[in-house]
Amino acid sequence: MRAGKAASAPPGAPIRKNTRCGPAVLQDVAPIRDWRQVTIVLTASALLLALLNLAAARFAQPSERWNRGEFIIDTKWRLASAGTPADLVFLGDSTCLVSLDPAHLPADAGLAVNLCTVGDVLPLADLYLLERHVRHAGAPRAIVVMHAYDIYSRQLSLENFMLLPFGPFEAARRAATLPGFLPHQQIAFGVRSVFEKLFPLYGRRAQLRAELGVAPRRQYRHVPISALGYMPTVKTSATEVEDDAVFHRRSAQQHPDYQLTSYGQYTIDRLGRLAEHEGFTVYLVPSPLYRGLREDPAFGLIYQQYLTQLKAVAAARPCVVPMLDQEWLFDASEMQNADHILPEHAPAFTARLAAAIAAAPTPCR
Amino acid sequence: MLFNSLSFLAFCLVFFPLYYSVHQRSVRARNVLLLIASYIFYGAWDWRFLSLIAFTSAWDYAAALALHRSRRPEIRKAILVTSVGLSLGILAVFKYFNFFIESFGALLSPLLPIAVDNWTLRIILPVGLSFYTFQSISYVVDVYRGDLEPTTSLLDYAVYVALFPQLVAGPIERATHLLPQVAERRRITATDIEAGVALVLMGLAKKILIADNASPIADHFFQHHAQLGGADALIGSLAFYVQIYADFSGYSDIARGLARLMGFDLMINFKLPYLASNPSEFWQRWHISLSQWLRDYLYIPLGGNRRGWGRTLLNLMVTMTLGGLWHGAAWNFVLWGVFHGALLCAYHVVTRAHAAPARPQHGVMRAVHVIALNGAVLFGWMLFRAESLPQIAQIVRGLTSATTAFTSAHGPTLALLLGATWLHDCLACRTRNMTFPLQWPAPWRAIAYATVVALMLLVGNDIGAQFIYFQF
Repeated sequence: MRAGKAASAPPGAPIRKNTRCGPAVLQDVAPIRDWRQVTIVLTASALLLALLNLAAARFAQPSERWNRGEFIIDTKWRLASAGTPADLVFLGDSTCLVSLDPAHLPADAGLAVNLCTVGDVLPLADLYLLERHVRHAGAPRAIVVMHAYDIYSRQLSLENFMLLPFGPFEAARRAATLPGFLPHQQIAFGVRSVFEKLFPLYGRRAQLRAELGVAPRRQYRHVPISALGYMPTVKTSATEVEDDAVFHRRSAQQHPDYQLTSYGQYTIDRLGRLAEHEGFTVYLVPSPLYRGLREDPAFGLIYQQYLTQLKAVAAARPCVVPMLDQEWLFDASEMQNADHILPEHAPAFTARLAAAIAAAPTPCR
Repeated sequence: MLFNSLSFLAFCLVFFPLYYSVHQRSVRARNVLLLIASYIFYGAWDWRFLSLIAFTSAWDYAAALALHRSRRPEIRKAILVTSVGLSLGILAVFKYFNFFIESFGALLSPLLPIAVDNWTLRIILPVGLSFYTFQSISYVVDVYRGDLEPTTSLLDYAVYVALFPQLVAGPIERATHLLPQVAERRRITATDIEAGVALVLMGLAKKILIADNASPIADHFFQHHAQLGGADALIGSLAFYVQIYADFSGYSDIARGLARLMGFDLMINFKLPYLASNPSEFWQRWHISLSQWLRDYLYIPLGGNRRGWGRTLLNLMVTMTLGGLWHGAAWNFVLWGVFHGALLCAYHVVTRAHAAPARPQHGVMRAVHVIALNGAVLFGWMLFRAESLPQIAQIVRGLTSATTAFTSAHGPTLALLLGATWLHDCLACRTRNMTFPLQWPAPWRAIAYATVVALMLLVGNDIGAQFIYFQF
């Protein structure tokens, strides 16, 4: 037994005799135990913690009502693992998710699957999903990569990287290959990924708190995802397109220099290498865009920089075909916001894009 | 590197296996590892300040050896003054320079032709400076007084100053207690391991579950006090009352637990301070290592209570005012120290007038005293937390205005946090054991450890929040 040193008088004033738990009688009292006893207690608590953690992992699955973005990524992850045969794979962010419906692909274009997700995971998710699809269903004939212009200039956060449903060690391994990080940052990113994935009690604590009722639940609206991965968008406000355009114009005025991030460059490079290895063509396509926004001079400057930089990256890989000169412009009445089209225009857009791809060169097959 | 961070978890995962592999082989190897680990731990904040801690260690080590070798009183005194003066000088420059310049400038601003802002320096306060400086001073003074033989090993002394569990926020360990432990081979028992784990978990639970959940309530009140009033002031101040206790005693528990896992015994720094029934008892229970340091190296050298009644009161006021200033270079800390000095003086006067009751209090009378003292302590924490003197005046004025929705929004959470704090203190008091969970049967202990970890992961406000006392 070990005991802390008893406290003696502080500055001034006479010391009272000890009460029931006066400072002089309070000590550390640790009953003497042997290694067997301590090992049993610590192992039992570790096992109990593991059980609680397993329960948390089962309870806090990706859910549409908690985080729609994560739910979409998880759905697409399973779709990529399902081995669905496809001649054409659509990859990209939500602009692609809501505009390319494989069910409306012309018959001569073959089969397609939509593995588009959300912008939070940047173009990186395209690479991970395609690798998975190729592993389970074999290589497609071609892939279409479509992102809103600003996705290629966004930085990656750990919170968003954690949305990808990798296992703990796979997450750490992927984190270690991420571009744009210093080695110690990659290690920190990896350690945190392992910890959050291994301990859903911590990694998914916000969701668990909400599910257990100790934090407010989020409001959500159910939007179905088709068997081939298409998800229609829903217009929530009549002014949404203009409001969104105002945001993009202001952003273009405030940040007139566009810079493609290392993640965008890395993804295109890796997709290009995979295409060379597996024998398919990568078509880089711009997202649908509100005509009124495209005609804005300040936005036009930014957009031109984006097109130029993306073409330069694409030029480094022979299997990557930049179809960036053909822009897909829509009126406000056809759109949900400045770069998402309404579901009724998705079939026609899908068919137009398929026709454009059919007419484009096919350097790798 | 914070105890409640993933980086510290990673640090421990590397450090402890290494430590256990060397600690039985050789004391020197163990201490080399401890010093390297402690410097990495400290350098993670700002590696530039490693030179400061290394210099302080080397200087005071040499000063103590010189004191021991010297026989002439005037030379010994000169060595002591130089050593303590240098330590206090470093503290003064890094912690108090701007404060004194700004205060001096504010006082003489009508007379000065230039702004004093030009004289202030852009100095960062190195974390833990106040703690390790006091620890180093106590060593030199103890050697000067002949209470301690100086160590001949610079390595041992450097480990004593920099031992990472207590480096940045104490306890302020005496060399007489810790240095022999550093110098000797120590066996780590199974009891040490479980006691260490229990202390670390108790400390983390206090910090993550209680302090970090009380912190947003206190922060919100002190940031928006102008719009709040009435009972809101009580809720806001109570939140800080809970936060600072759980935060600082939690840190001390983690420090003691980590040290125990390494086979070291650090002093108990908190002994249920909110169960104290008078100001003197409060300071026997709150931040014990600091109050004992102030007693032994300030109050007693000033004359203590041996030079008459008036001088005793003056010594108390000086000691507590400087104790307040130790916490930070701001007038609210000085005011807090003065307030506690006044409480101690008042208590001294009352007990003297009533011929100092020696018998312990029980029952209702003690409860009344405990509540009254806690009211005073609560007011003290309001002074401590406030950012300026006008803010204190504004909060006090706001007591008469109407209560807002703040109270109903945060009252239940605060009641839960206060309840948890009270439950911990009652269990410790009932068992007279600061590590009371160790007395529970094995199944309960296993459930308690797992539940605490699960709760910390699940409802912890945010892993990685700063400890309050790091700023001191």
